[in-house]
Amino acid sequence: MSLVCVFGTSLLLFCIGLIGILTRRNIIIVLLSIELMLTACNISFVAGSRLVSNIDGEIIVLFTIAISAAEAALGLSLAILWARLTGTTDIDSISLLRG
Amino acid sequence: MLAYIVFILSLITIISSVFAIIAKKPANSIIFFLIIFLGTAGIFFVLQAEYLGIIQIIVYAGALLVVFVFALILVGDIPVYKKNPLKLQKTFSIILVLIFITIFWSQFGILLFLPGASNLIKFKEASDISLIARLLLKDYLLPFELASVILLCAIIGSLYIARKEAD
Repeated sequence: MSLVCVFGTSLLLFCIGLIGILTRRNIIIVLLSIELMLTACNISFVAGSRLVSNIDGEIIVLFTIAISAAEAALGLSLAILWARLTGTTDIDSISLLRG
Repeated sequence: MLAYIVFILSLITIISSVFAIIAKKPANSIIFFLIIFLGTAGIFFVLQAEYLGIIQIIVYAGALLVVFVFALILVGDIPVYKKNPLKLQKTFSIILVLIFITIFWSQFGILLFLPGASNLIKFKEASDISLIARLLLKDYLLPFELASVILLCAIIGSLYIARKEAD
């Protein structure tokens, strides 16, 4: 029951992060929701490596943490640049490429 | 005993993630995300991934949220637009998530009934840091170096993007 509970937690966190990305309009909250989805993937990897008694999943979680830190730095710098250029952080204002 | 701890940590994490998504102010949302990351670190500790739990606390709850707080300070608490140009946005997102849960359960739900999924067996006698170090420096050496190069590129790129046009 315990690992089923952990996998269910991972699935629910991923879905809540997806709802946050699709509905929230502040760009910082959208980036935090992406971090939430990556954390859900990390929980699933650790529970899977526990399920098959193998430690390779934890190594993959380490690389996921490194990539998510890089992604957060680049996304936040883009958000700061956009807020300095236009004065808003609404994600609906980034529609210059819409035809 | 461990099952109850996992259940309580999962409940705290899910409830605080719901509050983090529906919070009005971004600062409140960041505080709820701190609770989420600490609960995730607790789940890692229960699953005997002590090194990943400590890394989760240091990197996510320590460094990443501080970066987000600094970005929030630099951006300022700007309110978003009043009217939403997209109608039925929440309805469609919830429908999409329900479709995702259905697909996930129909494809991967059978994995949860494998033998070993029902109980927490102790499969490691000691700490896992020596195993992780041996794997990381022997089998996963090339991805390890590539991760360091990616972090360096992220530092240089974010400094280049967010610089002021002063010169």
